[in-house]
Amino acid sequence: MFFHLTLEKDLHMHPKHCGPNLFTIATQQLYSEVEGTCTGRYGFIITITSVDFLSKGKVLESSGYVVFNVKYKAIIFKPFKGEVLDAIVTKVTNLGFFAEAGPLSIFVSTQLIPSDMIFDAQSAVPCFVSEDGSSKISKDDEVRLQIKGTRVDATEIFAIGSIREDYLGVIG
Amino acid sequence: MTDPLIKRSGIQEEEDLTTLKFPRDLKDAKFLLNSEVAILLEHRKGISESEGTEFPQTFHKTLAYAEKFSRYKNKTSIKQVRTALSKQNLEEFEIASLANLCPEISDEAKSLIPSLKRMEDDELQAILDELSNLRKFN
Repeated sequence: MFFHLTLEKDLHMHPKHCGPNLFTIATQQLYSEVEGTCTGRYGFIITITSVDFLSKGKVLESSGYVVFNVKYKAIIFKPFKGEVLDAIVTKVTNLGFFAEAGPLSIFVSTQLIPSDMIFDAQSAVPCFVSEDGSSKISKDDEVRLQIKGTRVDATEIFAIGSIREDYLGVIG
Repeated sequence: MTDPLIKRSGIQEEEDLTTLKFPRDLKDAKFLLNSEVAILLEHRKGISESEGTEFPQTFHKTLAYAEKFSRYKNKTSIKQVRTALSKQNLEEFEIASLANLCPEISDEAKSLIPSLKRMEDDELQAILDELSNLRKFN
């Protein structure tokens, strides 16, 4: 799920930037340091929407760097356990399939795919097919899945999904 | 050894969607619809592209995703959906989920968004019908 949140950061500016364009450069530096990063605590920081310089700059006497305390609003994406979301299948293997929802990759193992759907090794494109052939999951299909759990480390979030529940599976 | 961040993440509480409990860090978070994200990112891309800014890969992936799963294409219809849903007794997370997933019937909505189990079927169905009407006319 996407949300909008206010975050804080100490921004370290090289002294060579001190001058008339300081705040423009500082804002650019914040954008490049923060956008596209991922923390386990908040999720994927997609983009910054506004920046607010809270404090006056403080000079660190040891290095000459100037530190600003900055508050910024950002659009963030974080998967929640139990959340249902739509994703796009990126790869199908005999162990399950991978899907992507924006920046997040999700793995759905065969254990969490309805038991009447089996991996079809004969077909030209790898896919899961139901016994009666009515539904089929292959690359680039849209699926609705539920997040069963997430593995979070410092710079990455990886999720396990399920399509075993009611109303989940290929969107058609 | 006792980095406050490490200590905090150790005791960080997990979210529970059946009761809509979120970690404390996210208590001020405002949940967004995919459609809103698509518009915001498109806007940002429009401003910065003229300056020749390079975006990280996650930005492009997210924009593509948000546009693909955006149910309401313009600002007016998003506003209508927001007003219609905020009149009801719904939490922010439920509003965003309903608008993103667009369930057709109340049983489906309850299965996808467990916290909605507290509502009566008729009441929920009325909300879903209103949403699907808004989708049709835009």
